Amino acid sequence: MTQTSDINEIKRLLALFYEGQTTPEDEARLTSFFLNAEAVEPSLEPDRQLFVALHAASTAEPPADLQRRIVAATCGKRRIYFRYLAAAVLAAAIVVGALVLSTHRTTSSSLSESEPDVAVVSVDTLRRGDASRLVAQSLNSDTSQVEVEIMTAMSAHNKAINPTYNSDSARVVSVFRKVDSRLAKCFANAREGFTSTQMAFNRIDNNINKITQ
Amino acid sequence: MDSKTFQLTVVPLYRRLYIVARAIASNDDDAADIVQDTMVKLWNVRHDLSRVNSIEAYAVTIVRRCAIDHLRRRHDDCDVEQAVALASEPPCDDAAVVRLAIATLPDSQRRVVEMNVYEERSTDEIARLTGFTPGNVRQLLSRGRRRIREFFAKQ
Repeated sequence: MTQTSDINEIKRLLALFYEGQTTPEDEARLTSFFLNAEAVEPSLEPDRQLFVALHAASTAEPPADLQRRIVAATCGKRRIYFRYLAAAVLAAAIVVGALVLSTHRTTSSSLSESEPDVAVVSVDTLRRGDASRLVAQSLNSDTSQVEVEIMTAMSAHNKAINPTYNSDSARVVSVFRKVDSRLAKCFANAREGFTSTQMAFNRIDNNINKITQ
Repeated sequence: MDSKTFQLTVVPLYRRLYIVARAIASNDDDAADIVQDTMVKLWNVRHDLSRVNSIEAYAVTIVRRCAIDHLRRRHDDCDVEQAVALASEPPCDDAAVVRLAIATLPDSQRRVVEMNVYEERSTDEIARLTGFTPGNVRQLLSRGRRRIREFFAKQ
């Protein structure tokens, strides 16, 4: 087919297009012609601009992160919500443990009485393994590391309140320092977890507000 | 519809919905927010979606409503046409020019041209969805396309 007959065919399809009579295939052919044409005769220039613009408007590219945002706000919401919730619960338990230990240290004049270890009870009731794994995931850190942190802190705390250590007050002080150090690390992780959780709740609140507006 | 089915059948519609939202919204960010809001609404009614004939057509209807509501919230005192005109940025590229040209068409022409361009619907589909006859749809498309061409010829 010659170039002239090509142009004549395009003009025939254009006439049909402006009559609203073209099929989707005809329109695809016109679009392809004008997108690939390096130059067209002056009378076809507005048509070329029109088809190039229609193509641009009908193929607008969404932002790269839109799909991830949608999944997070819909079918991925529960998983994320649960993850942050678990992190928040564990963080709260660690904070309670730290406060109890701190009170214990400042108010107990004697360590001879074996008192219930509230910190240990709090953490134990949390299905520690699952919670540690979730916290580790949310903080992008190693699961076993978080577990070791908690276990070491608990073990040190147990030793500190055990009557058999009372005869060695220097050792008790040393163990307390280790406990403080471990708990400080846990507390730092917990704070990070709280911040993430708060951000997640804010995002959820925003979505709820948008839906209910 | 469970979570996995939603992710496989509804979430991938976001590209098509974005094109429809972007045609009405004043910028890319607003269009993305509108699509996200639409998806959340679809998620909230996911258990009823299996009864819908065409989820895509339903989703397009929702995204159009969301986009118009979004414009109304931004311009409380305006009607939709004024809001569209106010929201339109000064055209800076081909897509923006044609969006502006389409937005300024008379209502019936605009509706039919939008369904043809952004939603890629055939004449028969548009006729079925609007209640116009196929002949009326062709006539409205014809007038709308000629006016948009004039718009470009004046540029």
